[in-house]
Amino acid sequence: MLLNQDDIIDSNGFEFVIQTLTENAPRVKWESAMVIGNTACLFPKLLKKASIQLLYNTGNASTVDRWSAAYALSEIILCKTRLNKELIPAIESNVKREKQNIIRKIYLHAP
Amino acid sequence: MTFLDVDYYIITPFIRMNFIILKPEPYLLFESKDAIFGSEKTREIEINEGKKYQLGAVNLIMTNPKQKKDTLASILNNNEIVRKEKTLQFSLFLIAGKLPLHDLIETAKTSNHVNKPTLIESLEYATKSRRYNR
Repeated sequence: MLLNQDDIIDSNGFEFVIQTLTENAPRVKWESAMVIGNTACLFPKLLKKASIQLLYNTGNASTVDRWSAAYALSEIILCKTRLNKELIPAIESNVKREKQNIIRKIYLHAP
Repeated sequence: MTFLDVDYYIITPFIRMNFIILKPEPYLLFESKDAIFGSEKTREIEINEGKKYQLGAVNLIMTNPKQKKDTLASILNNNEIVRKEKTLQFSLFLIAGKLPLHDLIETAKTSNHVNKPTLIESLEYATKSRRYNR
């Protein structure tokens, strides 16, 4: 998807939210993941960097952190990039490991 | 028809038209400093018009060209405005292009654990509204 002039976020903004995924404050983490989920298809070159951190966050104890990471990862899969070859097996193992039904449903939302 | 009647018919619509054109934006209703920092009178407005007051306060600061460069930070640190209203208004400003993304990011970098999520959440609201991935 091409970036329009009136788009709200640019690559600097996207990289900023990737960085904030590592912060300690839970709200920062989950809002950043949501931004990545909303805009993933705009920045295909930055998705690898984002998904590495998101996969790390899926191991967090907080349900909201895992939920938001799952949302972002499923949106990245929906972008249908080359990354899917590596990402889909990782997410399949996450689905098996995940105990919360609500989070499993989000993963299954992605084909 | 007397001279006064003519005057009335000619001038009144003109005044009315001007009134419509120059009708102040809602935020101008809260132009005084009291609206931001609180007084008995504005408390009444707050109780009666709750949300409108809050949005008015943010709008007033953001659209005032005389404000300092740290406007964004001053709104964030203003405890008179609730977090949700800040988030909503910042996202609207982002969509309208009134608030540059660069300013938001630079403020977020130096913000504390209370303000930083507010800024990122407003970015989330704004990006969600576009539905890029759909």
